[in-house]
Amino acid sequence: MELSTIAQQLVNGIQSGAIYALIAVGYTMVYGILRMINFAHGEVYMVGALVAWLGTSRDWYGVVSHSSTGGLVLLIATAMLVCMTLGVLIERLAYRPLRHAPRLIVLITAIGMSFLLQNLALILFGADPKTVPLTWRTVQLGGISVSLGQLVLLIASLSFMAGLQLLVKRTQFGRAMRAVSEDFQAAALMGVPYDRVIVGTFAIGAALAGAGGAMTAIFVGAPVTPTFGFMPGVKAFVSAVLGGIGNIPGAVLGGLLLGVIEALVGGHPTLSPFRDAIAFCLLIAVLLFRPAGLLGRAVQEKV
Amino acid sequence: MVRQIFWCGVAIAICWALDRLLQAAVYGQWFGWLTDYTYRAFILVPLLFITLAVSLNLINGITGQFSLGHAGFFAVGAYLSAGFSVYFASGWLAQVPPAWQGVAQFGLLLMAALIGAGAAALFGLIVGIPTLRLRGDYLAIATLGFGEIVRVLFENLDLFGAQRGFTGIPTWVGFGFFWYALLAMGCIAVSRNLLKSTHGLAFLSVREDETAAEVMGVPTTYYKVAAFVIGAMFAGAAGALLAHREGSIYPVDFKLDISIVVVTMVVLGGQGSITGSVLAGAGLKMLEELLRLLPVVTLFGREFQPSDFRMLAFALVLILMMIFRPQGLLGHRELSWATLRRWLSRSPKRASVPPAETPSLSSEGEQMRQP
Amino acid sequence: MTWRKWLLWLIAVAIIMTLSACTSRSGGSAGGAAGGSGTVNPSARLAKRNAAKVEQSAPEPDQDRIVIGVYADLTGDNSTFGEETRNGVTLAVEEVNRAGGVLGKQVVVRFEDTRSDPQQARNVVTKLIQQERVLAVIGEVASTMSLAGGPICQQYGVPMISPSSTNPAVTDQGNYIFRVCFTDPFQSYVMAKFLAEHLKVKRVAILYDNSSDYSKGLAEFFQESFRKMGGEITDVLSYKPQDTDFRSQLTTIRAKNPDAIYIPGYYKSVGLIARQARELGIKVPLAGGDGWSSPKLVEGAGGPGKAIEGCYFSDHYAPDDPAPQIQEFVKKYRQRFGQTPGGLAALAYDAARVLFAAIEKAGKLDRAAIRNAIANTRNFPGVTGVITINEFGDADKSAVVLQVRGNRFVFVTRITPETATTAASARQVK
Repeated sequence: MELSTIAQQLVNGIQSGAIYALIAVGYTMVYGILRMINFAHGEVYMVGALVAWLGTSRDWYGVVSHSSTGGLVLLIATAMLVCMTLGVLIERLAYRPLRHAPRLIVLITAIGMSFLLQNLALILFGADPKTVPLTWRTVQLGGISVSLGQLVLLIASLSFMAGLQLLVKRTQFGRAMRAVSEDFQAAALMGVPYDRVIVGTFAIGAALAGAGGAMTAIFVGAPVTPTFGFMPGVKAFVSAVLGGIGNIPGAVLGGLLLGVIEALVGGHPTLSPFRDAIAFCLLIAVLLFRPAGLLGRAVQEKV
Repeated sequence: MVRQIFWCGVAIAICWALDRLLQAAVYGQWFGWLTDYTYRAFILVPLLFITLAVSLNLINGITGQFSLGHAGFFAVGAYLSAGFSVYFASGWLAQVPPAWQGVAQFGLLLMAALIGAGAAALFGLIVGIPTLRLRGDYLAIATLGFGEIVRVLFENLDLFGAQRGFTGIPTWVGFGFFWYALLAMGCIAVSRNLLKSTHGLAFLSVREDETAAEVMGVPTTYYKVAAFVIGAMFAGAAGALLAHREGSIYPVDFKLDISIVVVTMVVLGGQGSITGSVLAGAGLKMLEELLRLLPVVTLFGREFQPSDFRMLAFALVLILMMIFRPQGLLGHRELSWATLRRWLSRSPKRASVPPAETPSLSSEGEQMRQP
Repeated sequence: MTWRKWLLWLIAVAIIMTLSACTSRSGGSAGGAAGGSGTVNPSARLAKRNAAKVEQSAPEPDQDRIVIGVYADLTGDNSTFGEETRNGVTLAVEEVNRAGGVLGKQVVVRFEDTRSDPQQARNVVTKLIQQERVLAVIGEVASTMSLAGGPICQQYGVPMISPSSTNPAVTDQGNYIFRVCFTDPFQSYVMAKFLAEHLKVKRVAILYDNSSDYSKGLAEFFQESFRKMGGEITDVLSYKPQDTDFRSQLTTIRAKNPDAIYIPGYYKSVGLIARQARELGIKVPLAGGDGWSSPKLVEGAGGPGKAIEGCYFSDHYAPDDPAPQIQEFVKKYRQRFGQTPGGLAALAYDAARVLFAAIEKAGKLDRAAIRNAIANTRNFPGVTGVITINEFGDADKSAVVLQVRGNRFVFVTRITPETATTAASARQVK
C-alpha cells in the first residue's frame, strides 16, 4: 500500500471514529454513574439524524434554512435539544422507576426502549432512506482528500469532547458527577443532588449523541433509516469498553481506535466483508484479557 | 426407570395420534378455517416458539444469565443439520432400497436433528466460556455479537446458499406436528426434571446469588456453561426441524428480532417459570397471526398492516412488564392443576395473598446503585 | 487454569470458521459463478425447470371474477420497489376492467406485503393461494423473495409471473414460474459491453453489496464478461447495505486508478457511495444495474447535478424513449399517480397484461391452461419491449443503458440479446 493510501485510510478512520467517540461518551458517563448500559443510546443518535433530515426536508418558514452556516448551527442545536429532551424523558419514564431494581431488569428495559424507539421511527417515518440534500466541497492535502463537511465534523466533535472534559473537570456540576460516580451513597450523604446529576448526565450524553447523528446526516450525507443508530450504538459501546468503561478520555480513545481499525480492515480486499465482526471480536478480546479497558483501572468486586 | 420409559412411550403415541388426526382434518378440509395456512400459523409456529422460549428460559430465567443470542443457536442448528442432509444424507437415502425408504428417512431425520442439536450445543459451550468472565450487561452484548456474527457468517458462506437462502433441503419432517410437539414436550420435560433434581437448586442458586453459591461450594461455572449448552441444544434441534419442515432457510430468519421476541416471551411468562414461557411463547405468536388477519389501516398518510405494530407492541410489553411486574405474569410459579384450584378457591376473598416473592433476578445480586 | 484451555479451544474454532469462510469466498470468485457452483449448461437448467411437479391441488379459483394475487415489499426496506409494482399492476387492472374485464369478468387484485422477509413471502403466498384462492400470482421484485415464494406456487400449480426478479435461478424452480424481464447475466453483459465498446474503458473496479445475491451475481457475471472483452478488473470489494462509510473501500479502489467503477447495488447505498467517491477525488464514471432505478437515487447522491451526474446504469426501459406505447404508458401513469414511472412500474404493468392476455387465450379460469398460454407468449407488445417467453420461462428482450442527468434518467443506447442470452443464461446460480 502506498503512503498516501494509508494516510487517507487513517483520515477516514478518524472521521468515523469521532462519531463513535461522541456516542461512546454518553454510554460511558451513564455507566459511570448508574452502572447500567443505556441500550437506547444508539437510537437517540438516530433521532438526532432524523431531526436534521426533518429540518432540511422542508422550509420551516425560513428559520432553519440549511443553505447558511447559521441555519446549520441552529439545526444541529435543535437536534441536540430534541435529543436532550428525549434522553431526559427516557430516564424519567423507563429508568427512574427502576432505580432500585436489579440490574438485569434495567438492562431488559433498556433493550425494550431501544426497540421501541426504532419501531416508533419506522411507523412515523417509514423505512425508506432519507438523505439531507447537501454536498460539500473537497479539499486536497497532498495525496489526501477531505471534504469540507468531514473537516467541520471532526473539528466540531473534538471541541464537543474538549468542552465535556472541561465541564467534568472544572465545573461544580462536573464535580458532583465525579462524586456520584465515585461513591453514590457517600455523595448523597454529602448533599449532592444525585437525581439532578443523573438527569444532567442523561441530558448531556443524549445531546452529544444527537449532535453526532445530526452531523452524520448533514456532513456525511448518510441515509437515515430506523435502524440507523443500531450498529453505531453497539460499536460505540464497544469503544467505551475498549477505552475502559466509565472513563471519558478512554471512550474517545476507544472510538478513534475502533474507527481506524475498521477503516484499515474495510479497505482490505479479502477482509472487508468482515468489518462489522471486528467490533465484537475486539469486545470479547478486551473483556477476556483486559476487562478494565485501555485506560480504566481494575475494580475489585465487592461482595 | 420403567415408569419414565412408559410415559415417554405414551407421549410419543399421543403425539403420533394427534398428528394423524390433524393431517386428516387439514387435508380432508373438515373445517373451513383449518387450512394449511392456519395450521402452520396457529399450531406449528407456536410450538416452535414454545421450544425456543422454554430453552431460553433455562439460560435467562432459571440460571439468570442474560443471553441475546438465541437466534444464533437456532441458526447453527438449522444450517448445520440442513447441510448434513443436503450434502450427505440425501445421497445415502438414494442408495436405500424403496421398501426401507420410510425407516431410513426417519433415522436420517433423527440424525440430522441430533447433529443440529449437537452443533448448537458446541456453540453453546463456546459462548458459555465467556460467561466465566462476563456478567450481566457485558454478557448480553457479547451474546448479541455472537448471534450477529453467526448470521453474517451464514450470509457469506456459499456452501449454505449465502444470502439467497439455503434451499433444496429434504422436507423429511413432512406434516410436522409429530416432531414439533415431541420436541416441545421433550424440552419442557427436561427443563422440569432438571429443576426438580438437585441440579435445579444449583442452577437457581447461580441466579439468586452467584457469590454466595460459589462460597457454598456450587461449581457456578459448570452450571452456567451447562445452562448454555442445554438451552442451545434445544434451540438447535428446533432449527433442524424448521429447516426440514420448510425446505429452505434464510439468514434473515435468524436476525436479532427473533432473539428479542423470544426474550420478550420469557420475560412475559416470568423468568424461571416453565409454564409461563409456554403460555407466553404460544400466546404471543398466535396474537401476532391474529393481528395479520385485521384489515389495513391508514395512519400519517401511509398504509399499515396491524401486524406492523407487533415489534412496537413487544417492546412496550417488555418495558411495562419490567416497570410494573418484573417477575412476569407467573413469576417463579408454575401453572398446575393445584395452583389453578387454589386460585379458583381464593378468588372471592382477595385479602389472603400468599407471601410476596422477591423478584431477585439479578445475576450479581447487586442492585442498581441507590443512595 | 481451565479457562485458558477453553480459550484456546475458542480461538481454534474461530480460526477454523474464519478460514472456511475465506476459502469458500475465494473459491466462489475463482469459480466465477455466484454461489461458487460452477457452470450449469442450459439443458441442466431446463431439466431442473421441468422436473418440478405440481404436488398438491390448490383450492378452486373463484369463477365469478378473476382474483389475482400480488406479493411485494410494501412497507419494508425496499418499499419504493413494492410501491411501483403495486401502481403498475393497479393501472393495468383498472384499464382492463374499464374495457369490460377479462373473458367478460372483472379482475380483482389482492396485495400482500413481504417486508423483504423470505419466510413472510412464503406465508403470504400460501395465504394468497389458500385463503384468497387466487387464479395466478404476480411477484416478487427481489430475486431472493421470488425464490422463496416460487416453490409454493409451483407446488400448488398456480402460475406465477415475476415482473422484475433478474436472478436466473428464479425460473428454474419449475414450469409454473415465469418472468417478463431479462436476467442478470445479460444485464451485466450489457454494461460490460457498454463500458468496453461505447466508453472505451479498459480498467474497471467493482464494489458490490455483500448481502445481496443480486449484487454478488451481477459482480461476478460482469467480471467474466468484461474480461472476455479484453478488459482488466483492478479490484473487487464489497460493502453492507447498513454501512454509512464506504471511504475505506473507495480509498483502496482509488489507489489503482481505474477508468470506471461498477457498483451493482441498490439505490439506497449507491447515492452515498457516489458522494464519498467524489469527495475522495474519484472522478471516473460509475456504472450499475437496475437496482439504481429509483427517484431516490439522485436524492441520496446529494441532489441533481451532484455526485451521480453523468453515471450510467442498465435498465428495462427508458421513460423518455419516444416510442408511442411508452409515451402513452408514461402519460397514463402520470395522470393516475402523479409521477414518472420507473422500470419496475412498467414491468409490473407488462406482467399483469401478459397474464390477462394468457387468460384470454386460455378461454377459461383453469390454472394449467393459463400456464400453457403464458409459456406460449410470443411477440407480446409490452411497454418494456417485445416480450417472448422462451423455454426457460424467461423473457427474451433488449436492455437499455440510461445516463443520470439532473433529476432524469436519459436514454443512451439499447443493447439487444444477440448471442448474449444463450451464452449468458447458460450460466446459472445454483
